Amino acid sequence: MRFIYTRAFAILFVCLVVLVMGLFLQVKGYLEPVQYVLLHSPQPVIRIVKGVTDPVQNFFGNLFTVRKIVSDNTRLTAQVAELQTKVAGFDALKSENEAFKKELGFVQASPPGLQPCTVLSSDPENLTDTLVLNCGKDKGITEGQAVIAQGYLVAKIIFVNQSTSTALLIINSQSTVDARISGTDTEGVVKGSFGSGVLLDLVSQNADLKKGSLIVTAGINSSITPNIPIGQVGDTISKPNELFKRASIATPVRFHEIYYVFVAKR
Amino acid sequence: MRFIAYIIIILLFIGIGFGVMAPLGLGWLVPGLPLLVVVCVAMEYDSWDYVFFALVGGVWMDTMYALPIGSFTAAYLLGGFLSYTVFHSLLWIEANWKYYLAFVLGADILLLVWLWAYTSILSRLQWIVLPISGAELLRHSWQIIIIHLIFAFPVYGVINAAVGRWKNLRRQPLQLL
Repeated sequence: MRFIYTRAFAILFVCLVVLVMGLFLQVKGYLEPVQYVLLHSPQPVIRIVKGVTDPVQNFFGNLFTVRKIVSDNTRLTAQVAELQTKVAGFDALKSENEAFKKELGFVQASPPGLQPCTVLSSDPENLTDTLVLNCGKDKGITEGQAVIAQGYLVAKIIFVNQSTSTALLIINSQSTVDARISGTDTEGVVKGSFGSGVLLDLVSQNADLKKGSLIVTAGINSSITPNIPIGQVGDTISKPNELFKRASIATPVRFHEIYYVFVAKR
Repeated sequence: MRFIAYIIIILLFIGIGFGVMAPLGLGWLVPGLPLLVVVCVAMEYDSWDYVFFALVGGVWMDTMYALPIGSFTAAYLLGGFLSYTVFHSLLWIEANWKYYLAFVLGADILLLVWLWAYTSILSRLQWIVLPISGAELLRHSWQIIIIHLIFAFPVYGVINAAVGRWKNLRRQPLQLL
């Protein structure tokens, strides 16, 4: 019997038609209610499973990282003391600045609107490097907006549905964000790289890349709010004879353990 | 009833995958679990139930990974269909488990090639924003294959045990008084 007259062919053909129709409906946005249900329905199961396994995992995780926690604690204590001194200085400057603004009649710029969102699904490995958020057009989300977690830029919105949106993590090799070294005019581009790293690239050779300097968003892209922290300058990995400087970025964010985020609406 | 049980099984696999495997660094097992189930059911049981697992599990995975429909679904379907056809038409030998690992390996390679090719084509057609990076897939391919091969027999065992238990329950239904 020829293959096209078999039951196997009939089943495969029906599946193919279903898939093509599904893809068409998804591209047109008609499958959104179904996708919403599919994204939300596993959440209780995931929560229950995590509730059982997280304490065990945390216990063993802490056992293996005690030494690192101790050294982190020492380093962070020193950093807190240093920052407290800086904050005291900034407070004085702030009050002075406010007084001058009042004198000169400046209008206070409104802070950027932050939309809190829950991560419905995140890619556990580096397959797509995306987060699916429970905020969409209904919450004023648009493509290109910055996604912040733990105070740092972690992703950029790439696709928006009515009630959900998809964000691409900055560690993805196809992600680029314009950036600046805080407190200087040094600009560059933050790029994702293979292996969950982030790099600061296209920095002028004349620029001074000090290890530990804070990197923030430059705000050249109209959708991304400026001055959102991205990370700190790590090691310079470009050679002196290269056209631009390139450095690794150290960020405290664990990109695959993000559960709640803020979308910065400009 | 049977299909509701299948949906619950898929839901459990997703829960275990995203809730346990992913935090333990075994994230590649998340899309791999439905594939292992599909290959196991296609080979071990002479039924078309693997199509249901492939369709429902695949669409669920596509949605969870924010990928276009068909990225995982079609790979699962093709993997299951080839396993079923090759095994039942060409080999048809009692000791299925001897060939199981070879079929899992084949299905894995098919999954990786399909994911790259399908998303690249859709991206070229501008139907999706970003394709899956082929270099990234290639870099992780050995991890994916090794993890799937390690977990192939545990999944095989769980499915056989579950089917055996289900058959026993149907043979000896509980009687109230």
